[in-house]
Amino acid sequence: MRLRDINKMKGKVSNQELADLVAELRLPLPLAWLSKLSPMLVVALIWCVPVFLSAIVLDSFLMAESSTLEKALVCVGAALTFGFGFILTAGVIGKIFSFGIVEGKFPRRTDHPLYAIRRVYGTAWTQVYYFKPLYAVILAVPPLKILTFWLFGYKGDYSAIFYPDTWIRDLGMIRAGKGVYIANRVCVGTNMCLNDGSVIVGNVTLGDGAMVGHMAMFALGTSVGEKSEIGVNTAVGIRVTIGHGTNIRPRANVNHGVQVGDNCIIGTGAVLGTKVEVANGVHIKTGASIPPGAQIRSQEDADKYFSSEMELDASHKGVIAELLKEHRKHQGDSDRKEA
Amino acid sequence: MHAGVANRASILCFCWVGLSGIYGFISLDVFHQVMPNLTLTENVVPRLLFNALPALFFAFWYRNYRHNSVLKSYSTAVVLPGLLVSAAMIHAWPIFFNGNHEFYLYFHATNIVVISSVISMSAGPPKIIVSQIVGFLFIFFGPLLYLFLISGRDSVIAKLIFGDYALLIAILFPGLYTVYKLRLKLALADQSVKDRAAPFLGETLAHAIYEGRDDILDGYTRNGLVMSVDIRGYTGFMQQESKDSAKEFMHAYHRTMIQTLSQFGGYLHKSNGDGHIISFGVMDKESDMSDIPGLEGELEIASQRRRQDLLRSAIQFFESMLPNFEALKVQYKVQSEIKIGASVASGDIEIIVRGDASVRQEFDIDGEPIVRAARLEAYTKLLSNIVDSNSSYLVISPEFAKFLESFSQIKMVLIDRPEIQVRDYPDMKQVFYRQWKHKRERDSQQAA
Repeated sequence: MRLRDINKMKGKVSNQELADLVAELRLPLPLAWLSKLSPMLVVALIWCVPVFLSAIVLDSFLMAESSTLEKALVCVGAALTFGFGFILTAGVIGKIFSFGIVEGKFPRRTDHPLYAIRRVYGTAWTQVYYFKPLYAVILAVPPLKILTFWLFGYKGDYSAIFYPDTWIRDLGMIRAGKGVYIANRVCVGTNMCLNDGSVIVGNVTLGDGAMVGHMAMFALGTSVGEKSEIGVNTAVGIRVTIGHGTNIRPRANVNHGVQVGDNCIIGTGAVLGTKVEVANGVHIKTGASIPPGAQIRSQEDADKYFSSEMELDASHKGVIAELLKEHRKHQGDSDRKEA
Repeated sequence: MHAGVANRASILCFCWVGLSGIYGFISLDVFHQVMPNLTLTENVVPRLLFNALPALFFAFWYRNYRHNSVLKSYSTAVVLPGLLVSAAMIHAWPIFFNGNHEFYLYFHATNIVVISSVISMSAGPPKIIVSQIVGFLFIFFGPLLYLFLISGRDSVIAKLIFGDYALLIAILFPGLYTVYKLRLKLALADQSVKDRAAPFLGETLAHAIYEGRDDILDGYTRNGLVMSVDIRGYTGFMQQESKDSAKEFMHAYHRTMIQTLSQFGGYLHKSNGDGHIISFGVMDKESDMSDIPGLEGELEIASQRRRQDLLRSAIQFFESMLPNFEALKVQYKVQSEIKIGASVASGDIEIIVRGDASVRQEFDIDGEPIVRAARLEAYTKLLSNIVDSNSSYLVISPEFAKFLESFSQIKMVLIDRPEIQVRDYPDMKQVFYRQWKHKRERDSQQAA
């Protein structure tokens, strides 16, 4: 079965069934061997081409009789040539192989076509990303940022702010809207390696005006609505949907599959379990622990769960005592009915 | 509107970049008639530097069309004529201003075509069209007109420019205005249809149809809760009450049900007179986590709690409906003894589109839980007979047994003889129910 045919089955079968079909794809042997060597070849190309180009500049313009200023200018020119050459070489490789950066789950095997393509793309991108002085200049100079990001398949808005230490990888999977702010040391996890030997890739979507705080991390398949804010050190899991205007306060923990509506507040340190659903406008209190699968349809539902804002005073203890009495009475009724 | 103009201006500028380069090649022969020593490089390079590059800059500026869209749309009245002027300034206008006025005739038709195409493709609202026309008149034709008018000898060319441009405005403006009005009308009509259809189709189906969500329209299966609601004593009610009062009561009842349901996250799938099929948690979006290893245990816990919460929502909905129903009976002076009864069942529920695309299709719900809910709802009649006739009942399917500890006042019926079996479910050994006793009629009338 070809990848094109498998993709037509999306939505009709479960993700795991789709992944099982994709896992069966294999490269022919020669290409599989080439795939094993590809990172070395890519690195060699990305470094050798700009070095060669800058050598040409030095050779052409650096004369023994030139003045010190002229020599300095030639050296600057060579350095700029190296920088541009580096970006363009890595970028062209990234552009060519960006077609393989697709959503899905596939095995981390060098003979798997999608993984083989990802290795080449990833090698090219990481050479740029980890070349920090150059990457910092790229992010600081808008035309360079536009050029580099475009080459690596970025489809979002170029006004989105990324810091040099913001981890981003599969740029084609990032959909950042206008005016998005992503602080430093944020991890935009468009891909994740799983303990079954596979890698899973998905989109990350950030609506216009969304903000992501320092050291936050979010996983693939996450969607953050317009003007929402993800607080510092927050962890957002796989396939989470956050509505518009929602504020996730610092150190909150939003597990996989959670759906948070519009204009919600998730308190500091709150934990939302797997597949929790929070309706529009609800405030989850500080330190609340919402168990997996809970359906929070109203503020009343949210206040049922223990949070650090819950103060147990004498009146609360009285309420608890009444509840226990009621429960015991109900137990007694049920036992009599069964009898 | 303004964002659209800016977006199209970006496309026009990108096209201009390409055309500037091409024009450098194709116009060489034309300029050779006056400048025989002109080389290809001298014709192409200036166009790339002074036409293509500014156009590229503006193309990227307009590309971000959502930002400052009003400024950008009005700026097209200056930028687009300015780009044409920058193209004309390379060899063409210097030739005119050096006295070779007849040479203009080689470019006049092209100018008219370019200007009309640019304004047409911008396709802005009337104010933008007018500002672009004025912009071209003053920025592009203004200097030319002035040149030819003061020259005196070539007033014919001046008349040609003036006449053709007047003709352009006379045809272009009404045409574009009509197109704009038509587009506006179509957009408003489309929105109007969508707004009118949404209350009938429901938010999910309306969204699926208008946004082209084939993943919803192709159907799907989801684990959820289905509730069957019915009015006990409906037949007697329809026979006893007058036609008009019965109709008004039912209208009010349906309206109240929809309003109450929306508070608890339920979805009304179908109504058949006094009966309704409602779902909880079936129309909600749910992410498929089957491909993430190591989550199986937690997903199972999440699924259980979700079912528990859906049951809670269903019970709360029914509990809210009861006083509303009684209030409606008082309001509409219903004499008949009618009560609402309901049942809940859970399982895999299929959302499907049934029917024939060429005749009629229906967004429907299907699955064994629906049949079970309907049979259990009919069981409320039996409960009225064996428990208390002056109560409303919510019958709960046995699979909810493990969740019922957290709910109060849930009772159980052990099905140990055939006469109290659930129809079509002989293997069902127990059902659960919750009972709401009504005040006696004498007390109710005294209270009223």
